[in-house]
Amino acid sequence: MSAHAPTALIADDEPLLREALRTQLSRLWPALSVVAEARNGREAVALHASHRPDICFLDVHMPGWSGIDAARQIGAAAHLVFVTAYDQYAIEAFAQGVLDYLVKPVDDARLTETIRRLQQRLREASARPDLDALLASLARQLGQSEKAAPLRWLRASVGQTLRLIAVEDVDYLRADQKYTRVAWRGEGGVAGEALIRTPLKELKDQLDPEHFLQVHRAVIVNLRAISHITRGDHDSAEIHLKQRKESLPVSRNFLHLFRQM
Amino acid sequence: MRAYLALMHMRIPDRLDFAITLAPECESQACVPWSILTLVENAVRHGIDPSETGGQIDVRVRAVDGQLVVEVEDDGVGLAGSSSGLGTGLASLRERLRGHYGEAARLQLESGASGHGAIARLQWPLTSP
Repeated sequence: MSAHAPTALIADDEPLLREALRTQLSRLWPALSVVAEARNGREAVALHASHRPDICFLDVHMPGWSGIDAARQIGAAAHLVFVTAYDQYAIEAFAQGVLDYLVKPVDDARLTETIRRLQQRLREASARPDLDALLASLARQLGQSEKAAPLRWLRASVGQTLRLIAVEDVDYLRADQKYTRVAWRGEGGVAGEALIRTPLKELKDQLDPEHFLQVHRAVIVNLRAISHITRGDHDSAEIHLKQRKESLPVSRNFLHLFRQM
Repeated sequence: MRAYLALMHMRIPDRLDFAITLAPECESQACVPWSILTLVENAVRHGIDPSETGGQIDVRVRAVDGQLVVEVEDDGVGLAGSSSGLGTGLASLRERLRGHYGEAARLQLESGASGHGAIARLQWPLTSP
């Protein structure tokens, strides 16, 4: 396509890795000139706008805007190559798409192959595919992979302080209008209570089902906090806790959970 | 821990500063292996790494009322801003502390005094020399 020598931008938050890729590129593709280096996605977008490089090498994990965020901004205005640390999930996501990607540490053979593809595209001036949908689904997939594990900490505001409460320190959770009341034990087993904004329903799906059980529409209890359960009349039951005076209701719909116990 | 911070500083020199303060009376104190390192790794991973501007990590070790107190403070993105995935390291550190000191050890995590960043505080009883 263009008569000028091809230009590129490298974006990575780690200077050593930018330098490594630049050195590798200068060795394997001497004609390519690296015209800009960015430390994060936002810089990459800004530098792309001012330098208009033909190619952008974008590290996927960067602070603030990621490589994917930057790619969504740059869109079809450059040939994009993603660079990612070894991560099976990310690689699967990339491999499904038609996106070019390199895995760190970048090996020569792989880079040479990528260079050949890029050179061909530059020569043919081929239309860059519309990546919008692809990038959106990629961002979704990569986001999901970080959310699979059960919740370990609750974030509660106590005055000006944001406190992290380990879920194993929680005795029970009780819905309180839009909020959730967390009954927990702090240092030395001292009972504390805190309100958090996440609704009970949402927390339920994030808690480890091996330790937390919903026993009532408005109550989730930590199994380890239970001392004993007493049955009342009319299919009702009450949970008594090891270190607290108050008891918790078990509603009829959840009573079966304790039948085999 | 020093080596880890030095390595991280090499990785992102423009975004990480750190300082370590160790009170002299704490120098000979035993430390649960990897405990401080876990906190420092968290500060880098959840505080500094996600921040475009980076920040400073302070590690302070002192003795207060017969307790050894370790604080790891960063002025990065803070608890509200950090992504999920937080907790595996801390949860296993808690279990290890429980193994060494029973209920006598504490581990707390709070948002930083200045409203951003985070402070992780670790304490257990001092052992007499």
